[in-house]
Amino acid sequence: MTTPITDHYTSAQDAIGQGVDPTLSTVIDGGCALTLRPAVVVMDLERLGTMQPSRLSFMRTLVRRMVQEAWRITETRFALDDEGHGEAVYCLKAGSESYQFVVFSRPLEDALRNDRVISNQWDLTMALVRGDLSDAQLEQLRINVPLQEAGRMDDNVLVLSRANRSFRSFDAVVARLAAGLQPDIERLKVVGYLCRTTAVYGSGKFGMAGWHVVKTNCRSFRTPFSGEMFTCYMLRHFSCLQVEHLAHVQSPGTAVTIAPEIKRYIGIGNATGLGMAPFLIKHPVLISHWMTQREIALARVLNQTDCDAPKLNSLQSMLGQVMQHLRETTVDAAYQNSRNQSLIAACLDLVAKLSEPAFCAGLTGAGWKALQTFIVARYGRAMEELVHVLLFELYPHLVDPLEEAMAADESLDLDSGMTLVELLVLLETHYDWALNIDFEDPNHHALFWYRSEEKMEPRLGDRACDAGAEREMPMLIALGVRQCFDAMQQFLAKEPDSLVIDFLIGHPDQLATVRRVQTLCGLPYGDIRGNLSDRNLEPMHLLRAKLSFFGVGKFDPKSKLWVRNTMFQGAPIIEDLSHDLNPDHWYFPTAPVL
Amino acid sequence: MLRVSYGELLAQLKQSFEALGYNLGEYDSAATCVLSLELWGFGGLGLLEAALPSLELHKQWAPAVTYESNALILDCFQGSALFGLIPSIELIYVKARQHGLSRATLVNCTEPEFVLPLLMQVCQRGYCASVRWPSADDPESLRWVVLEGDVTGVRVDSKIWQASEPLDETLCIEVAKSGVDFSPDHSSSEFPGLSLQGHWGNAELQALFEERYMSSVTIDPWLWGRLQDLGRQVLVSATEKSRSGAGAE
Repeated sequence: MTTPITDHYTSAQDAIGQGVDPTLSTVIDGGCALTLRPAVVVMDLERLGTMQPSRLSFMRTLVRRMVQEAWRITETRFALDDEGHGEAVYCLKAGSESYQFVVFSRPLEDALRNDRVISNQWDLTMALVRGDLSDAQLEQLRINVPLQEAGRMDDNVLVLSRANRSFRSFDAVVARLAAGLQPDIERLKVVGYLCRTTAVYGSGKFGMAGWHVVKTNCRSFRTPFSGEMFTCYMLRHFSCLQVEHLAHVQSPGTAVTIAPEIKRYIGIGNATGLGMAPFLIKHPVLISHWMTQREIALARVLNQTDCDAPKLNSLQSMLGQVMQHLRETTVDAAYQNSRNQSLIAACLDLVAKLSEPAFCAGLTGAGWKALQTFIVARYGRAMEELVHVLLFELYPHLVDPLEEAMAADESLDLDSGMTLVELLVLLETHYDWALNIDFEDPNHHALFWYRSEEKMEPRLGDRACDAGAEREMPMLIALGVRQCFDAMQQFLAKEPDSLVIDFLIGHPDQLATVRRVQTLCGLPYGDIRGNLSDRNLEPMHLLRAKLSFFGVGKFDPKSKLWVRNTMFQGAPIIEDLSHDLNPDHWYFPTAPVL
Repeated sequence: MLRVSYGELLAQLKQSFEALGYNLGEYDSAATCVLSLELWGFGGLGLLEAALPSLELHKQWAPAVTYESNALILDCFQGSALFGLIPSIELIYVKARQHGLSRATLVNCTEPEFVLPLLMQVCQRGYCASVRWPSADDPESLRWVVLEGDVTGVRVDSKIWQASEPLDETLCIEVAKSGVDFSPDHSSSEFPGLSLQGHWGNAELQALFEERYMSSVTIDPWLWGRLQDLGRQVLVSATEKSRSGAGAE
């Protein structure tokens, strides 16, 4: 059993008196103290930008659950016309539960096909619904699902999403299938999907069932974002059937279906922008929970000393797969390309090291911590984060049980009876990273986050020249800490023996910061250590961190502010679920060799 | 009537209160208060509807706090209890922690029921509270709510008493460590001739809470529309330049 994370600095006085290292966090894991990496390392914004999908990513855990619990998915309606427009319904039976995935395909002019969240029309719109589906419910869905944000759902609907056909791949795959040919693998390496989703909504939006309802009443989707991930998985399935249908319509005499090996390699595309970033700031307890499980997994694995030949061979093999995956990843952004190339070079070097008997002998004696030390010194954090997730693959029994601990009660606690001096020490100790930022420098206070009137899309503005700063979102934790700290110091100068409540009576505007600090001092992975108003901010780091928890691959930044990526590429297809297969073979997927 | 989800309503309330000029700590708490009162059967949305015209006219400030005869007096200057009361309620809690029992009265306050969710949070630290206030419509009708809690949750007992003469228009709060009996003392001259008119026990209220929490919340479409209109005030107008701030190519 793992107990909630504790932190050496929960008691500021103890910390002052005993000089405990403030950079360490410990948990009690199976009755033993487990030392985790410090928050200053884990929550560094640039490091978050190097995170990789892992066994704990939501797509991976969903697929494991689908296979282990033998989910059965059957098509109950497939009514598409010769243009591929119409609707389809799939029924999921998972134990005693049943759900319906409903997808609508509507005509869309090429000029209106757009990745932006502010779009109003899509090729495909879809919903995940709990229970059975009556004709009346289906009719309501027909009316409302294509409207997306403008529609109203009922509380049987768990997830709402939409997607567009890929301009680069959809028609090309239809043409190949119609001609009796399999999809061009080289093209699929570049665009590993047929459709791309631009938003996936859950958690009670637009009248849907709230997360607390899903968590309690929908066992199959009890872990965060599993309903959303399943919806994308079903979209992937439908997209393959849709191209097969269109190919058959075009050329019934010659058309073929997609070979299973290729179907597995077809994922679902995703386009994500800044909308993902506020979630990381608004849900610090949940983020801390996710990071903690990941760090516990890492600490457990690094504590293993059985670096024997089979395990080192497996690691070598996985590094080879990663290199192949990265070589097959095409990105436009020069900086991302450069990062991928650096990672390939590091993998190549490590593979060579793992072929040296003396190097392996050293590891066999010292364990994985020695490998980590070597990697940190030789390659840097991107490679470090990559190797960590590969090591997870070697110890599924140490990692996988943590997936059940990804949900969290998100309340922030207030201890108004704490002395203000104690709170000041907590700030100095846990938020030194924030207090070290010079907000007098305009470059450190240059950007602001706001919500646009266009579908409330989060956007970034420049204080010097953009309108809207007076309506900025409360995203600047570091600045809030600085302001709270300054106010506390002034207050303490007059009232040195005061309590937190004395301060709050005079400074009610500091309530949110005080509450956050008091709660997160015990949850050190809750706050991202970065200045989100810095002129040189790289929002992509935020997106990458969250997307790694989802488990996306083929990270392809299209600008500083939005990214395309691929979901479920390499994952088992529906036909595989009834077979006794390893549900975890699809990390860093590579193109099939036919 | 319109059905909205718990999370959707909470998010909308936060955005609307943010638009009224309140900061993160205040609007988070106020939104939770409205929803909590609604779920517990105290009519949070109705109270909000009553308070909105005044809230839209001027920002509510924290009450003036004075300390007389070992009791706090919180003067809300005819404002709603929805905003500005968190530090005051925390002060009542700290005094209970220090002295075992603390008392406060809330005067010149509209919608005083909004203190209940704040006290529920306090009680979850292992405390109990008594809150009583006369009805705004009938000053001889006294609502008396007793709260007791721990980390697992809060237990709520609500009664309506009929007095033989009008009561002071104040809301009285008592907070103590769990275990204190807050039943009315009928021998006290403070409660002349009280007779019980209605009782909602914890089991009944918990069942109501659970049922509402796990299903949609029903809201008057007018109020929902009003909240949405308010919430739009935090949004920034879109321009071609602003679209580039979201990554448009």
